[in-house]
Order: sequence, then structure tokens, then C-alpha cells
Amino acid sequence: MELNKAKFRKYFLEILPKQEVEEIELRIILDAKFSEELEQIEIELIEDYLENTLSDDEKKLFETNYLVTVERHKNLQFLKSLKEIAQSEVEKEEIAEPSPNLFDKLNNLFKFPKFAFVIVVVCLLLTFGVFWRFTANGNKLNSEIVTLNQKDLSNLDEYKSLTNLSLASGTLRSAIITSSLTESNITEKVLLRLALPNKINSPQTFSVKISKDGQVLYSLTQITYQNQEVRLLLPKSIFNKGDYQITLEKETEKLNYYFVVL
Amino acid sequence: MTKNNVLTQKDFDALLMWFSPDREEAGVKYEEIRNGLIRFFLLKGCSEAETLADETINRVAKKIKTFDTANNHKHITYFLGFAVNISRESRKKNKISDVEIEKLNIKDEQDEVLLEIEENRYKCLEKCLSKLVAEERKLIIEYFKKEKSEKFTHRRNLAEENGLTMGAMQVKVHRIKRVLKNCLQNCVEES
Repeated sequence: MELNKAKFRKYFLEILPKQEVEEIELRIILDAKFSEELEQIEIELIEDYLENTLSDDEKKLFETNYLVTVERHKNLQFLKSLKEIAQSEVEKEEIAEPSPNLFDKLNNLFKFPKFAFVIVVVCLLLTFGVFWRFTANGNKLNSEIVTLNQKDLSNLDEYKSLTNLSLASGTLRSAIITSSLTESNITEKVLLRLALPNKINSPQTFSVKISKDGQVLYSLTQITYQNQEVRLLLPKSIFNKGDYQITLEKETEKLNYYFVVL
Repeated sequence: MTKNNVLTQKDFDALLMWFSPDREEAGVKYEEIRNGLIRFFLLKGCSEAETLADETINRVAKKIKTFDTANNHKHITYFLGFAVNISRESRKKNKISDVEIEKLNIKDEQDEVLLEIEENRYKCLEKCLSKLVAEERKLIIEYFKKEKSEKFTHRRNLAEENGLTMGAMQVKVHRIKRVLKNCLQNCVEES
């Protein structure tokens, strides 16, 4: 959609010359697609009004020339409520995140230095213990993935006996029915073949992020590939039932691949 | 509408003949113009766009005999002329009053009746959102999540995540919004 937005905003604010208005209105009657695009510009104008980003002049024109019918008021209210509901979802997400008040509470403990000192020492010991335990396991798996992917994966015949999964980027989560693995049938290693939208003639470096059910499991850097696809060899242990997302990043380019383990 | 023009069979036949001697082709043209007029009245912010579109057609049909058909004016220009007048009449007649603005804006928070109307509308919208397919609900909520300068990047990323171009996503959101609006109107009327 590349309409002249400024011109069409003026149409809704009723400050266009008569001849241009007539041209627009003829197109509205003749062209359904144009009308749909125009309606989109109308929504953007209403959103700008609700977000208070119109200039003073535009705001005045909006109220005196645009907002003059019951239907338009209803439309404004509808969008306002819709935005409020969407905003409340953001608030719910923020509440679900760790509360900043916790920091204030901890901060209050420092009013009693000896008590605070004991707590800090205990916390540090616990954190160190947990960190050591998890990084030991995580590092083991990470290094396994790194080692697996240092191999030359260009000869597909060598990996024929393994579970293979070919994925195209941008596949909708709703369409994952075609991209799935069954947990019970997965071989010790899995070869993922991530199709690239364009053929790469010289080797290029990607960073790879593997997420499951929205949580990042592993991040790898420096996966170098060329040609039409990126290949990843992964251990069976990371595949459990759930929704998986693999993100390939290269400079400003970002490709997402989705599949499900059943 | 003020003039209450009823279309007679004779007027209707004359209108179709004016469009085309081929009855089927004329019928298609009639539908195209009627749909176009509905879009016009909706974008003008008029209530009852379909009634106004029919009123426009009726008025044009009644005046066909007076048109100078030799001047090569396209049919549509006649319809637009009448439609502009009818939209003016409608907007004048239905100009929103201060009371209605108050009802819609709920400016006075102490007015319990008005607050109840607002609350009801909000509940209806939530109900209508819950009736959408999960994917559509998620898309429309995500689309309107961010505001001001943040929203452009957010919407571009959202389109990318959904494998759509910005234009295609906007059309999709627009269609979902239309479904929601109809649902909301029915819900508010029922409650």
C-alpha cells in the first residue's frame, strides 16, 4: 500500500480542494481495494488522535470536521476500547515479570547491616552452587552442539539414517502441522535443514537461537553456511514435546522457523 | 431519508437500460455501483449506508430522463453527484448532539448510567474478542499493543513473524476488526 497518506488524511480532515475530493470519491465508488486502503489511513488518523500525536491544528480539524457523526464517534470508541484491551495485555505481561518492588524490599534489609551481611553471603553461596550445577550441564550440551556442527554436513547421504526435518522460514505457528517430529521416533541425532530464501554464493556466518515454548534453550554463534540452506545437527536430548522456534540472524536479516515435537 | 423515493418497476427497467441493453451486464453494473455507494457512505461516516445507497440509486433512476446522455458523462459521475448531496443531508440530519457525544465519551465519570453503558460496551468487546479464532485474536491484540513511535517497528516485526507483508497484515487486521465491530453492535443491542 503506497497511497499518498498526507493527502488522504487531508481528505478526512476535509481540507482538500473540491476537485481532489471528487477524484477520491469517484475512486471510492469504483475501486474496493482503494477504499480498504483509505479506511486503513482513516484508522491511523484515529489512532494518532487517541495517542495524542496530532498537531494542534490537526486535532482541531479532527474534532470539528471529522468527528461529526455518530458512526465516527462509535468507531473512535471502538478503537479506543480495543487499544485499551490490548494495552491491558501488556500490563498483564509486565505484572508476570519479576516485580521491581522486590528490590525495594531487599533494599530495606540493608537498614540492618549484620542481618543483611548474612543474607548476602547465603545468597551468594546458593547462587554460586546453582550456577555451577546448571552451567556444568548446559556447557556440556552446548559444547556437544558446537562439536556436532563443526562437522562437514554437506554430504546428505551420511545423514540419511538420522531423523531429517526440512523447514521453510516464516512458517506460521498455525501451519506447523506440516513441520513436526514425533518424540518416540527421533534418532540419537537430528538433522535440521533450514531453507534460505535466497541462494548464498559465498560462506556467511549466522547466529542461531533455539527456543522451546517461547523460552530460549540455546544460542550458537558462527554457524557458517552457503548455498540454499543452513544445516544443523542436534542431539536427541533437546527434543521434547512442545513448540520449537529456530531463529537465524545475519546482520539485519532475521529468519524464523517453526516446528512441533509431538 | 427525506424524499422517500420509491423505485417503480418502470424506473428500474429504465435504469438498467441506461446501464446496458444487455440485462445481465446491466445487473452486474447495478451491483457494482450499489456496492461502491455503500463504501462511499461508510467512509463519509454515515449511518445506514445501504439505505442511503438505495436512496441514491432511486433518485438517479427518477431523473434519468432529464440527463443529457449525449455529453458522454460516465454513469458514475451522476451517482456521485446525488450521493454527495444525500451524504450532506444525512450528516446534517444525524449531526451528533452534545448529549450523544457525552454518552459515547463518558466524560462525566460520576454518572453511573453512562459508566454502565461504557462498561457494558467494554465487556461486549471482550466477549467478541473471545469468540475469535485464537490466531486472529492474538493478531489483533498484538497489532494494537504498542503505541506512538514503538508501534511501527512492532507492527513490522509482527507482520514478519506472521509471514505477511505490512499491507497484507493490515488488510487482515481490518477484516478482523470488521467482524468484531458487527459482533459488538449485536452484543450491545442485545444487552
